[in-house]
Amino acid sequence: MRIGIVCPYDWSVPGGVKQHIQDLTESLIELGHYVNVLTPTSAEELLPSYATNAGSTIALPYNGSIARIKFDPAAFTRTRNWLRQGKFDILHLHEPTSPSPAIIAAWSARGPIVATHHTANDSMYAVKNMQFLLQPMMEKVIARIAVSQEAKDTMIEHFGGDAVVIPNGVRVSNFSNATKLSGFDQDKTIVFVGRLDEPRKGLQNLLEAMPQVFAQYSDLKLLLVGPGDKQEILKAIDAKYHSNIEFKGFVSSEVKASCYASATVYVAPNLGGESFGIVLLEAMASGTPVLASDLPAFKQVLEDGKYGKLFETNNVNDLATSLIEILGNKSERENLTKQGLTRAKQFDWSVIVRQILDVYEAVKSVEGRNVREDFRGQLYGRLTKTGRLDRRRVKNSFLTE
Amino acid sequence: MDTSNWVLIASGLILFAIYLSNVAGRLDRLHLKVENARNALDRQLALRSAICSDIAGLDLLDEKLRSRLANAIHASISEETLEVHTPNEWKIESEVTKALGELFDKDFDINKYPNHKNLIQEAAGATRRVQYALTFYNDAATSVIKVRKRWIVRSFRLFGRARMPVLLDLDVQIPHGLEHC
Repeated sequence: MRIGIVCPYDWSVPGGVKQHIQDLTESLIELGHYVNVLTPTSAEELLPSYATNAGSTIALPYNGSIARIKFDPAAFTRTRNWLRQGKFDILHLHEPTSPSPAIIAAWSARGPIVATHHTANDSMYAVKNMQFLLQPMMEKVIARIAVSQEAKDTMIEHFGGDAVVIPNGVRVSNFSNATKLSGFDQDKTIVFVGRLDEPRKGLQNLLEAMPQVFAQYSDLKLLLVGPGDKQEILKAIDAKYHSNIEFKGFVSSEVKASCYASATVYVAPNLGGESFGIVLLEAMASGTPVLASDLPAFKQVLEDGKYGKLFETNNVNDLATSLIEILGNKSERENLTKQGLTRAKQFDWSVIVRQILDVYEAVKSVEGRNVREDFRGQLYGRLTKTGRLDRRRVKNSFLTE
Repeated sequence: MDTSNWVLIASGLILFAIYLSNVAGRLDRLHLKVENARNALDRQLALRSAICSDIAGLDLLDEKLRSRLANAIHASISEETLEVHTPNEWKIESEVTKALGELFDKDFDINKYPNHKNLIQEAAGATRRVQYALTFYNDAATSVIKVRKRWIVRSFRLFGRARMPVLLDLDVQIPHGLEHC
């Protein structure tokens, strides 16, 4: 199958959606499909061979964080060229509501179009203001996928209709084979992964809870993995604990896997805005027990505590007591390691990609034709044959009287 | 009235006509989408019956449940060969879903059947595709229903001769035992 995927955000900036697209693409290529990804990027030389540059990006605040996206006239030409040359059987858009090549592709193409919604956030203000413009484009999408129940609910709230839920995947082998970092005692290390300066990741709550935990375990190390201002973080916690805190900064995914593997417990104190707990699955795939806030998305991944420990979201005391409890209970940790690995394997990309291919199959049989440029509604299209509607009616149609 | 007023009225009417034509065109595309989605659902249901009849023939699983599945599939295949849709259709297909659900309940473990892994995975894929096709059909039907409820569409009969699509209520639950295959 020839599959065209559109990534809405800058390829050179790491993020959940980009990681999802990269893993999906590589899994599809492993199965022998032809895949090409159209993505904005600010570093063309770093693009993998399966990606096409859609231009450089500008930073815009979107969905509670900074999105580096692309939306200008040159992007239209590039997108149309890419569509013409790709001759795709399936066009797969991601986050089709963000102002990005995804919208442009939806506007320029017709045929078997699939869209994945990643966001679970009520403040999609860009969408609310542009809904009347987006609706006709969204109607061209034949199959909609949501990465979680929350993402599906958000999508239905804005556009109505229905979507199938296919969760995010994780490449288990990348994490389970990771080497451990030197200098960390695997019985005395807590790891946090995420942007340090983003309030919804909840690091400030963890820092507030740490003095209680350090009081019990004075030689404990807190390993913070992710970009952010070191000094700001250190200001938030008593100077006598500074030696217990280690910063890794922004790391490659291999080092990230090693960080998980070296830890006693992985903590996810997130406050909201998470549509799917991919970080939890990464930790579980590394064999590290998970302690997470009881956000709906996390509860679903951990199946109400079966596969990891939960504490009340935004409750610093509960976080501290749960941490102390799990650090003191080795058999519980061993059990969670075992359970977590089983859970992670259910979300391995080798499993998830089959479900996505099932969507492609179902959609292909809906349309029966490949992806092509859409001239309907444009002056050129109205004056020539290309823009006219398909009059190919099916015999004995149940809709026509 | 002077000429400029007439020009204003005429251009207003022309713009309104273009708008109506646009809405009608959009509605027509949506109807086509519903129709295609419905055909895809029929095809996926037929595929499921075909693959699952092989499952019913496996002599590994529980005899009683297998014969229930075989009966359900027999009914669905004779239904699917009919040219017209009957009201009974959804009951029959839901019965196939239920029979599969009992055969592959939550205690089912695919690793116990290494020789038939491919067949079971194919069946899992077929049940998933039925669920997806139904979702896409209902998604398309909802958007048509939403547009057709608008007063401008109703008063100008912009839907032409197309019938109002109906939302389908059909049991397409993926069997517990096949969820992670």
